[in-house]
Amino acid sequence: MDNTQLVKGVLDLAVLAVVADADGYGYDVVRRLRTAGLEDVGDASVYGTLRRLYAAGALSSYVVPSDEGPHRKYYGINAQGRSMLESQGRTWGDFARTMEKLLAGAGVAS
Amino acid sequence: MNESVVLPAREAIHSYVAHVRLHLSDLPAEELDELVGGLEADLAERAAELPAGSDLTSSFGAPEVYAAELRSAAGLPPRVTGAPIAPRRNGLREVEASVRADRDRWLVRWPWLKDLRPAWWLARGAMAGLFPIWWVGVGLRNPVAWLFVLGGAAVSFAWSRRDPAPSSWSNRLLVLGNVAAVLLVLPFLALLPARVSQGPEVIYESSPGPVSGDSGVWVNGEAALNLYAYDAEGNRIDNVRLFNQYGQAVSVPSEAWFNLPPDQQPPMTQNGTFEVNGAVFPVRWGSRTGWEASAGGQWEPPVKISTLPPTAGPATSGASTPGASTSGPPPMPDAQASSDPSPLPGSADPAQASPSPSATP
Repeated sequence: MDNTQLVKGVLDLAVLAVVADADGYGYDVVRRLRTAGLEDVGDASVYGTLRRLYAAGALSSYVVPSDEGPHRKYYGINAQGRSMLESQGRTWGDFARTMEKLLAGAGVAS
Repeated sequence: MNESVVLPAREAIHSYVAHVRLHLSDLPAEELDELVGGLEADLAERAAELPAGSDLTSSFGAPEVYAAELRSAAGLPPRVTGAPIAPRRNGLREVEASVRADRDRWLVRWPWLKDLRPAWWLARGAMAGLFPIWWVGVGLRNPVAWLFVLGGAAVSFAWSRRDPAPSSWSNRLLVLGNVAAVLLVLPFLALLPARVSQGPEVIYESSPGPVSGDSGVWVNGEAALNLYAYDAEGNRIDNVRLFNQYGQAVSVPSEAWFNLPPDQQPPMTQNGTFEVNGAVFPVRWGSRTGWEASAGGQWEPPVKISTLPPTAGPATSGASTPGASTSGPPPMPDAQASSDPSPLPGSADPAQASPSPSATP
């Protein structure tokens, strides 16, 4: 099964989790997601997600000028983002447990 | 598309981002800036991790695909199919992106153009500095003018050398300025010489007649049709060939005879020039000896003129420089040598071997 479709569904949660750990700029978040194992995540998807979460009020943003190139736009999580992370985290946990049970019933190791 | 030639990373990234912007140009400006702001820095870092020489499009995907992914992940509506690529607002952005895209195409085709860019920056700045100077009419001899020119070049150079921000007003201004400079430079260069010579310091008075330096032999501002040589004893010298300080033969150009009445003109060749050797004096043609009353009828060369005083020099043979003037009918005043590439002596009439005087007493 194509991983990218699954990733798309949980990208908000994944990005929130990464940013909750530490502030990050676009590619930094991409890299941390990949390091964590989400290798198929697309750059543009992550940038778009960051933008959408910011527009929804879950992230704060600030610009850091760079001496050697264009400025960087950092994102950090705020209170609203943390509560979104917790509620979505619970939803994911419920969903994942449901899937595990389903697969176990079918005799498939998850 | 561009497989072999890879732009330097920063240029390529800037171009890539510009293309992405182009495909998001239907979004409100604020939204667009939020979405793409910082993208350049991210892509630069990403590109730095790619193997050297990687092509951005093959690594990140086509800009339009990238833009679509960005758009959908951001929860924005897809671009309306059939929506014009050119948006109603952000016109300047559009111009910037398309100019950059054009430039990048040229850079891919002729990478050496990039090496010329500092020269262009300087020339562009000098032009910008020169323009107000030219407009006001201050000549280039004024030091203030050079202050403007050099200052303009320096500012332009410094501005273009800095790292470009992803999309700032200054960048857009620069793009417009470049376009304007290109449009201005060519007509300006064409006008410049005329304008400079019009400056208050340089005034050329128009002289009433032709000025020496034109083709031919000029005496007192008038074209000479012929020259007549006399030796120290005052005898005529025939078949004289003269040269200037560069070894160029002095000659009367054939156009000189066009001013004469037709019966006094030399015979004409099929290609419209006169059949005459204008580099052997006195100039003659047909059965003329050359010593006839001058064409134009002003003067008849005498058979003999007065001898030079003995102090004038040891010259006893022909072709000597007339140093001191004599009493009596004066020899021709010093003729202005022409730079006319006329027949060399070797190709001249073979009849004359040496400048021996063959005067008829």
